[in-house]
Amino acid sequence: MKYNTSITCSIIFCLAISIVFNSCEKKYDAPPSILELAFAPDLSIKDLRAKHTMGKFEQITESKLIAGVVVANDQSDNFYKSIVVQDTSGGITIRMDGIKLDANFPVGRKVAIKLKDLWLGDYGKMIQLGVGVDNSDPTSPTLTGIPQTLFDQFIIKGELVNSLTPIVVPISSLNNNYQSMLVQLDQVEFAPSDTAKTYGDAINKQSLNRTIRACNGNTILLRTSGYANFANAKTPIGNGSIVGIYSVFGTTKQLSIRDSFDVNLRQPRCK
Amino acid sequence: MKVFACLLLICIPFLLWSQQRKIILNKIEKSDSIYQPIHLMQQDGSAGILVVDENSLKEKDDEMAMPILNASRDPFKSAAAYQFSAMRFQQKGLGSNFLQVTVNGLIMQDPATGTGLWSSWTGLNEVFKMSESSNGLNQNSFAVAALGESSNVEIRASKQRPQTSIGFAFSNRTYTHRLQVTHSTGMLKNGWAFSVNAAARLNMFETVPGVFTNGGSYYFSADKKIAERHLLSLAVFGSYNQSGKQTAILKESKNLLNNSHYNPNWGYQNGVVRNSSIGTQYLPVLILTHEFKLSNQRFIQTAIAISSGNKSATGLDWYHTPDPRPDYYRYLPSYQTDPILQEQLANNIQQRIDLQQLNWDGFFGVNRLNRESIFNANGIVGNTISGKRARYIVENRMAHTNRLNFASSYHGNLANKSLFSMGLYSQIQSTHYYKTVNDLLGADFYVNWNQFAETDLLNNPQAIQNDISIPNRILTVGDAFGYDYTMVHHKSAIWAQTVTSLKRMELYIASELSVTNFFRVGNVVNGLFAKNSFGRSEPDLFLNTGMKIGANYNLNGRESFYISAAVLSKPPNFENCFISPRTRDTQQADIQNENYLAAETGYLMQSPLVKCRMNLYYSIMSNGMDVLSFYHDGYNSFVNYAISGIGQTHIGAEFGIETKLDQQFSFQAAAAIGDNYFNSRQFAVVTADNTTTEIERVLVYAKNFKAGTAPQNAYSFGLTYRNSSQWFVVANANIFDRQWIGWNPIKRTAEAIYPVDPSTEKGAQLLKQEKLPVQYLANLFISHRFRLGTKKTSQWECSLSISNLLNKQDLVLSAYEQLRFDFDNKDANKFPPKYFYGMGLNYSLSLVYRY
Repeated sequence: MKYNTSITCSIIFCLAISIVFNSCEKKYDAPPSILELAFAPDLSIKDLRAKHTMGKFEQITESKLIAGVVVANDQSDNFYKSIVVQDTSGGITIRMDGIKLDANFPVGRKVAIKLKDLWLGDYGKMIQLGVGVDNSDPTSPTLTGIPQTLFDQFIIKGELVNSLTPIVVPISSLNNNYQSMLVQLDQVEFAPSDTAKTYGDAINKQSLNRTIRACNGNTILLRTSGYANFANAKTPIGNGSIVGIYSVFGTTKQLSIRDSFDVNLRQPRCK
Repeated sequence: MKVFACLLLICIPFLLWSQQRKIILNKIEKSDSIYQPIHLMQQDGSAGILVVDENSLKEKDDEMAMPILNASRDPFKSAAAYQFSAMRFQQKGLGSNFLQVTVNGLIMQDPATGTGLWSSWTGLNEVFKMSESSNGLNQNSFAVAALGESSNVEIRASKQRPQTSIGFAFSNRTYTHRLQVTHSTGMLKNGWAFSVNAAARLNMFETVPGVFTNGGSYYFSADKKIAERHLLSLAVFGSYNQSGKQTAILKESKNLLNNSHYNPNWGYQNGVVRNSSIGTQYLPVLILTHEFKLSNQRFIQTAIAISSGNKSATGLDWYHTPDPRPDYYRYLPSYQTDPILQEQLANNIQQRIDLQQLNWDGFFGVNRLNRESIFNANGIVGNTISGKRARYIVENRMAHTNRLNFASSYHGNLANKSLFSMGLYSQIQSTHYYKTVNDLLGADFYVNWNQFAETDLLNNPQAIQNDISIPNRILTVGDAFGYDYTMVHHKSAIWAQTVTSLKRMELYIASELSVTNFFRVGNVVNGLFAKNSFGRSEPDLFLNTGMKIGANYNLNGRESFYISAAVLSKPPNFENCFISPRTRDTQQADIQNENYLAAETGYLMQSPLVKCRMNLYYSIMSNGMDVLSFYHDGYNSFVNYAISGIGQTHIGAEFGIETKLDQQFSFQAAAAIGDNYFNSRQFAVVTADNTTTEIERVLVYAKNFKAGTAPQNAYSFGLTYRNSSQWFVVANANIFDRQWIGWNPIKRTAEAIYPVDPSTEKGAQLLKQEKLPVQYLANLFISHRFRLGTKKTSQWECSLSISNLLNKQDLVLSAYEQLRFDFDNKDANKFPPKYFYGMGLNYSLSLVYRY
């Protein structure tokens, strides 16, 4: 009798344990989305750019905040280790030392940037924001990208808004105020020698320039990295509009597209 | 009153803990036995350190999960078991796959890896007690071909001591509470015997965040004696275990956070600690045993076992998104060249928990923003699925095993006092390996694509499909994805052994002949390897022999000498034959048996005052193979180094002595002095998992590199106080020396270090195998037995075991070089070694009641 009681007890104990463990699979909570953030910029991107003297580096010592929307990132690898942020006054390229930036900074995401301790500089007169100055080559110092570990210290991530509408600008009007802004060029086409060519050199991983020409004869270069996932695609023959980020290299006017979808040339070419 | 005192003692740690929430590493689980004091001293062992080995895709948990079943009276073996094991010391430098374990005479080793199936009976130490263990190469009843120790565990109900025991233990290790109940009837008058054991391990608080063990185990056995000559026995047991794992860390992380117990595997999710790496396993076993007594000295024992269950491990998977691991080299200060930035990073990491640990909330944030459309989803043309595509998920790597195990042996004596035994055994096992989606982390779906194959898309549009039968497959929680294959193993063996006793001498000879075959069955067609990923591979067939011969010479009643030698061959493990079984059935070019030659000799003394053993051993191994897989920056893919021609030499001495100082005190000392090293150059063929081409063939300059990561020399000094079997106190001091870190063969090739000249300082720096400093460990064990009331049969036992008494926080248990190597700049510090640190002071307090 005593044995039976003990055995029964043990079996009940076993069952109790198995019940405890079957209910032991913890269900994890999902955190809420941080949609509401105190975005209160106290500096426009235009005013920030005005603080820069071409060819110099300036460290920002004031605790100022700019806010804007991400207009370009590394999603298609045409932009590398940088994102482009734009507000109503202008745009700026931010050098970031990280890859797959589009995961955290998709196009259309609102971001605010805490400027204190960041540096302004330019690369061929293209104004950029970075975290320091790399003097390893004293003849051509460059801006250092913000290390991934410091992203959250400098950049506040906001909600996803609708993508910004590009500003329609004639090629002739493009000037340094349009740097790092999403612009749209209408009634343009690739120069005859640059049609049906690849955007970049995907085989040798080289950037290539393709000339974009407006019907009135003004031109601008479309520059595409050989690493871009659309580098191997062919430039269309037709005429239409092209959306991209305006940049300069010295006095050369350039455009960089985020993806081949930014090129919309379906009309007949200019007469 | 005494019970009350004991309960009070058990409560004290709770109070202490609430006072001082100092985080101490808790990665070693202590043994479960709460039977004899000696068991309680066990250092680690059962389900030991749970490791995520980033160096290899192979799951290596079991290697660490070796319990010490041995409660030997041998002073060296008891030091090895209870003192040295805390540092993962390996006797003779032999890993767990060199030990042989049998249960009721059945080989209980995974035929795929050779490792003992200890985890199937974790927690059941009360009934899984060793009935027999051989010393090294000495003769034993059920196993022949093992270089290491052979042990047999007897779990038949009628062999259990008739009693009831209830035990409770409290500790600050991976589990904090342990309960066990055992009841055994012994052989009853009606010919039946029953035995049950149930145990639970629970973690009520995590000494290291995210590191825990929760588990429950059961055992039931019934024996029936039929007509005096037959004993039929049924036993069923299982152990469910879930544990949060720890990983090795960089010295940089340890110094930055001033915490040697830093565990980057966990992070906060909504304020709750969540470990990304959780292992679960449950593999119940049913054994039917039959013993047929032919006469007093002759019997036939036959056993058959079936076993079926799962082992799984979760981990993060990510696609087109930054590496989620907080200690990824690009996130650390050392990656920066600018000292100002280095300091800024260090400050940020020190201040922000989301930079130290996994940022679960961040993963959800990324997944939530990632809206994508998948075209031709699930292989249906025109089917477009849109939604939040996961960039981060938690995957579950599954291994489902079915096993059939059979053994039969005859034991008897020949005319002239000789013992003769022979037997046969057979194992058939199939293990299904695959991954499932465990958690989408806020996303709607994941896609069954192989991101590493994207570079191959230009040549092969199917390359990224993990399964081309359902291209672009949309995955939700529970769906299988990635790799999917089954390994089928079979081994059958016959063996025989004769032990002849002469006047002063015992001679034995044993031999085994076995056949092993295994093959892979691919269950999906991989886009990259469409021709050789699906279906059955050519089976590998191995014929193996083993032979052991030895003599024990009894000088007088107290002293004896022994000598023994063994020659044997073993088939290589499948995971060292297949260069990437997850993706294809390609095997190493020349697959051969591994060969072993071992010899040992020694002296034993047993007198009432002194017990002593000295042993010298020598073993060489040749034809070893290995496959190393790691992420290669240059190829943007996992790369496999298929290594062959591995040879090792293990040579050394073991010594143990125990002397009585007076009626109460005795002194023990033990020493292991060994040299375990690679004795040959190795050959490696390099392939990548994202292309079908062989990359290169290289020679690995491996000669004289040290083998294993455990200390090769260990010394122990102990003092025992024993008072009329009521009080039992043991204090031990241990020293560990000659411990090297695991070395990376990839770095020891002319191709890897070129153009660095090996004779320069930089060359020497690259090639050197780091030696760890001498380490010390002190342990204390106290046990008290007492009776309450007048009942003679009932007994209480209260014991306390303290390990690392000096609370040393930076004990390095093991360390290894990362396989990833800076091929471009040959910077030895870019991917520095990773270290496992042992826990600080840890204790276990237990109370057992037996009647």
